[in-house]
Amino acid sequence: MQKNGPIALAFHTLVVAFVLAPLLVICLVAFTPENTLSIPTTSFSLRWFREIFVHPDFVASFVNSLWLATLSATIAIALAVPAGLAIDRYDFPGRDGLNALFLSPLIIPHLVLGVAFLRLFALIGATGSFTWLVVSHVIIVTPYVLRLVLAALSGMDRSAEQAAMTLGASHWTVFRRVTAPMILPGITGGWLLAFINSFDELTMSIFVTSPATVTLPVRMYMYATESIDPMMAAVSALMIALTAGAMLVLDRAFGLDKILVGQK
Amino acid sequence: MGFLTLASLSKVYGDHAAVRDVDLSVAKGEFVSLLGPSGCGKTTTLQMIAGLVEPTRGTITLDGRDITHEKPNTRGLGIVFQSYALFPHMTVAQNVAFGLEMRKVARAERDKRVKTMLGLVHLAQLADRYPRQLSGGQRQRVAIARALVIVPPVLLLDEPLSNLDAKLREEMQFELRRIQQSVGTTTIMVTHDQAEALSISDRVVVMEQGRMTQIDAPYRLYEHPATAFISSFVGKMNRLDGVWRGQGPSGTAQINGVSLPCEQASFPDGQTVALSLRPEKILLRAHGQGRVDGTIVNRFFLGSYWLFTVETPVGALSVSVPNHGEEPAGEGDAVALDWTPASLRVEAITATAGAAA
Repeated sequence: MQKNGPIALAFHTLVVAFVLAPLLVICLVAFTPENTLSIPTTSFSLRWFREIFVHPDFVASFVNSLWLATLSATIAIALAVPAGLAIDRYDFPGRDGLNALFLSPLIIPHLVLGVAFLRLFALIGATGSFTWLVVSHVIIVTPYVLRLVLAALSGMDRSAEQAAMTLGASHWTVFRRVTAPMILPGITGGWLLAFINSFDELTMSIFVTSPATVTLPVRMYMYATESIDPMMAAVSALMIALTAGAMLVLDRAFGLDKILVGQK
Repeated sequence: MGFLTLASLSKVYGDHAAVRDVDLSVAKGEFVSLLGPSGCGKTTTLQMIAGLVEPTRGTITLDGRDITHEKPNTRGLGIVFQSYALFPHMTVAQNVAFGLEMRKVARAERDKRVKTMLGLVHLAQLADRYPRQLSGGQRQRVAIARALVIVPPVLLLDEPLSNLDAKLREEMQFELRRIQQSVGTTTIMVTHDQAEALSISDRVVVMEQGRMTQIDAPYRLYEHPATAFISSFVGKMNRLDGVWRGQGPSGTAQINGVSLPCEQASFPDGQTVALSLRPEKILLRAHGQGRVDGTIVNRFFLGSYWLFTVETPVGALSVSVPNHGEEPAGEGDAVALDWTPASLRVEAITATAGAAA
C-alpha cells in the first residue's frame, strides 16, 4: 500500500478534525453545570442528562423515531430487493419507468413532499396516523436502498445462480441460498442508510407528524425554537454515544467490513 | 442411438443463427470436445444442453428421454463454468455438498460423499476454506467436484481451463482426464484451444459459424482436416497454391514449374489445387539431397523442438525439427527439404471456395 506524504497526512487530519470537532464540542457542552450553552471549565455535571428524563415526551419521541426508522428501513428492503431483481434481470415494458419512479423521491425537495403529504393525509383522514408516517418515510428512503441493491446485483456473478439451478435448486432456493447471501452487503448497507435517513429526517416530518407521533428530530427542533439550553447538547451526546455503541456491537458481532463491503 | 443425442438443434437470436442444425450423438462414458473460435456457437450449444438457453428448434435426448424443454434444475447435469461460479459465502465442503442437499441426501451420507469427492480432486485438506482463499487451479477442482458429486449422467465443461496460466492449464488437462476416466462420466467440453481438445478428448467436434463441420477422433482431425479452416485452426499447417499438371492419377502437383511429390490424387490437367503439409512432416536435409532446396531465414528454439522458416522456390515453409541436443543448421544456411509423398495433401480449389478463402 502506498504511504501518505506529510502534506496529505496533515490534510487528512484537518478534514477529520473539521468533521469531528463540532461533535466533540456538543459532547463537552452536554456536561456543563451552567444554564447556558457553554463549555465546562471548572466542573462537570450530569444535570442536563437527568433533565432529559423529566421530559418524558423526549423519551417517547426517541422510541417513536426508533420504531419509525426500523419499520421504514425494513419495508424499504422488502420493496427494493424484488424491484431491484426485476429491474436488473428482466427486460419488460415500463422497466425504465419503474426505475425512475422508485428513484424520484430523491429529486423532490422534502419540503414539497411534506406539504403534499400533509394535504393527502388531510384528504384521506390519515392525519396523526403512525402507519401513514411510516408510508411517507418508506417513500423517501427506498431510493437509497434500491441504489445499493442494484449495485450489488449488477456486481455479482450470475453464473453462480445458474450453477445452483443446475445442481437442482428451485428459483426460491437459488434466491435464498445464493443470490441473497451474495448481495447481503448491499442489503445491510441499504438498510443502515435507510435507517439513518429516516431517523434524521426533519423537513418532511415537521409537516406529517402529529402530537401523538412526533419524532425525535421534530421534538428537538420544536424545543430549540422555544428555548436554548444545554439539554439539547445532552440529547445529542446521547445519540452520538448510542450510534457509536451500535456500530461497535455490529462490528463485534458480524464485522462491519463483512456486512458493508462484503469482505471477511 | 447415442446416450446424449442432439437432433437439428438450432438457436436463432433475431435474424442471427447462433447455432444451426447441429446433430451430435455422444456415447456413454465418452469425452467429446466442442472446438471453435469465439462466436462459433459452441457455448450456446452447451447452454442448450444444460437448459440455460431455450433451443429455437430441434431436440435433446438423454438416455432415451426427451429433455429439450426440461428445466435446468430437473435435468441433473453437472456443469463447470468458465468463471467456476463457486458460492463465495460457502466453504469448499459446503459448495460441494450443495447439490446433495438439494437432493435431500441424508447428512451422514452427504458428508461421506463430499469427503470421497474432495479426495478424488486432491482437496481433502482444504474442505473448510472459502473459495477466495484458494488458487485458480484449486477453485477449478472445487467446481469439478461440485458438479460430479451428484453423479450426473453428463458433465458439461465450459472453457474450464481458460482462466489458468499455461503451466497449470497443461497439468489440469491431464488431471481433468484422469478424474473423468476414474468416474466414467460422459463429458462434453467447450474450448477454443485446439491443443486442449486434441489431447484429452475421445472425439472432437469442430464448429464454424454455428455449424458442426467435422466430428472425428483427434488424430484423424489433425491428419485429415475436412476444411481449410480446420487445417489452419488445428495445429500448424503450410499451405501453398499449385496447379495439377498431367492427366488424372499420373499427373503431379506443381508450383512455379517445380514438381512436388504428393498423396495419391487425380485431377484434370490445369486444375488449381491447394497443397498442405504439416511442419513436423518435413525433414531437413543437406543441400541438394532433398525434394526442394532452400535457405533458412529464421530459426526459433522452442525447447522440445526447433522451428525453422525456409525460403524455397515454391514459397516459404515452416519446418519443425525435434531437439536432439545438438545445435542444428542456423539462419542463412542452405538446406534441402524432404517429405514422404503421402504427407503432402492436395485439394482442388473450386472457383467459389477459392473466392471464399
